[in-house]
Amino acid sequence: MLPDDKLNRFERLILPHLGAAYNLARHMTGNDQDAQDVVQEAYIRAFKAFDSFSNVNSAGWILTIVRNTCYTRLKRNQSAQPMESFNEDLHMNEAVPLGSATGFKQPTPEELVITDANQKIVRQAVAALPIGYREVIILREFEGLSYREIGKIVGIPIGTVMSRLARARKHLQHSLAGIDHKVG
Amino acid sequence: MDCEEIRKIIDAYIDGELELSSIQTVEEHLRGCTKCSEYHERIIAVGNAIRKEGRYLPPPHLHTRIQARLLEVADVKPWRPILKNWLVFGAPSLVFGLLLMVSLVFLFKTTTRDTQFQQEVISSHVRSLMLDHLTDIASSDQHTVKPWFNGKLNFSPPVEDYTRAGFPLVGARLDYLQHHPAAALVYRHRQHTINLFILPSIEQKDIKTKTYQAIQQGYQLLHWTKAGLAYWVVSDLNLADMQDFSALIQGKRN
Repeated sequence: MLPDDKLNRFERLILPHLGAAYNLARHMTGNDQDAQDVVQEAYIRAFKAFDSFSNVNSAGWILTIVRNTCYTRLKRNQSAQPMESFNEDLHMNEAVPLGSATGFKQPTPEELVITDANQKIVRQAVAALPIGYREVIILREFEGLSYREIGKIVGIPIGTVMSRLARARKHLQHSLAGIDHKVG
Repeated sequence: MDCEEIRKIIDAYIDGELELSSIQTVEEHLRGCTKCSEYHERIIAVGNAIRKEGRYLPPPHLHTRIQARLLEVADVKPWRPILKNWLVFGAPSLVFGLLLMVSLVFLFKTTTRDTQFQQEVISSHVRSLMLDHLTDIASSDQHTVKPWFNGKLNFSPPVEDYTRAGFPLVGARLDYLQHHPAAALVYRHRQHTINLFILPSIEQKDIKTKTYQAIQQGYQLLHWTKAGLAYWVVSDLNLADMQDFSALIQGKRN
């Protein structure tokens, strides 16, 4: 492929996902500077590997690269404390009760009230999620990717995608109780 | 199905991942079960809240910056003189004639290239003064700014703060001059902003400071090369102050 053609094609197919890439990187790295660096690095890497792009699912392709670049950066930033790989079993055992067995009262949708601090609360709630849950909830809620696509990006089976989403949502329900979130 | 079993697949139901028969089962159950129905609505509400409030938007110049870096990676190489190829064959007079011709072409191209470059420096300066594009890293600490360039440039620009001399370092950013990546160090003197661009030079010898004035636009440029790096200082500051600044950068003054 001629250099011009390659660049044009890359800009047309991959550059439009920049917003999604930044959002993912920002949530995963936790700060703007790292997120920008990650996105830039991921895009350069993607461009260099563009010949191997199979023309299908550009979002999944670039987001996989962004996600992996995030992990590389996180490991580098925490080189003093090595980052433990996400321990599925550990988090699975966190009991989240079905009803109010532990005394936690689930708010009804009508009890929820609009506050202006919503943005901060929501972002903090997502940031508080263990990273394995956080990445799937971001790919699902922001990008609307299918379980299969998410599984491919993160490298886990579909069943695991579903269980991580369920756990993530349970965590978030607790943190977001008190926020208005009208249905529809 | 009982509530516990429904809750196991309710996420898949919400995310459109269930096949038809299961969908109908879930919907039937939700119609008759308040607890599960509320649970279902809470999950949807969580998704809505995330989408509504949780998205981070990229900073405005990230797109441009990445496009510029892609250009660099794609193909663009600096123009190199073709002088060498012409010297190989031919009678002495022919060689001399060719040599003369090529030197003129080279000179012409150099001059045009220089002028274009100067204009580019001014444009970059002006663009940087627009909102939100002056610095990627805002810090007066040279020990913060200098390492920030690691991994972003293939050279390490010298960075120093000159607050005591009246030229505080404001910060820095990555910039591009005719597609060449450059360090842009931002300084301030009274109310004037100074951009100091540093990028690798293709000149073999050090070039002494030259002054260029873009009179109509009101900017002045100073340019020199030293130890393989090209320096461009641009500002609307008066010439005397700019020369003071350049002397500081070149280490001729303290």
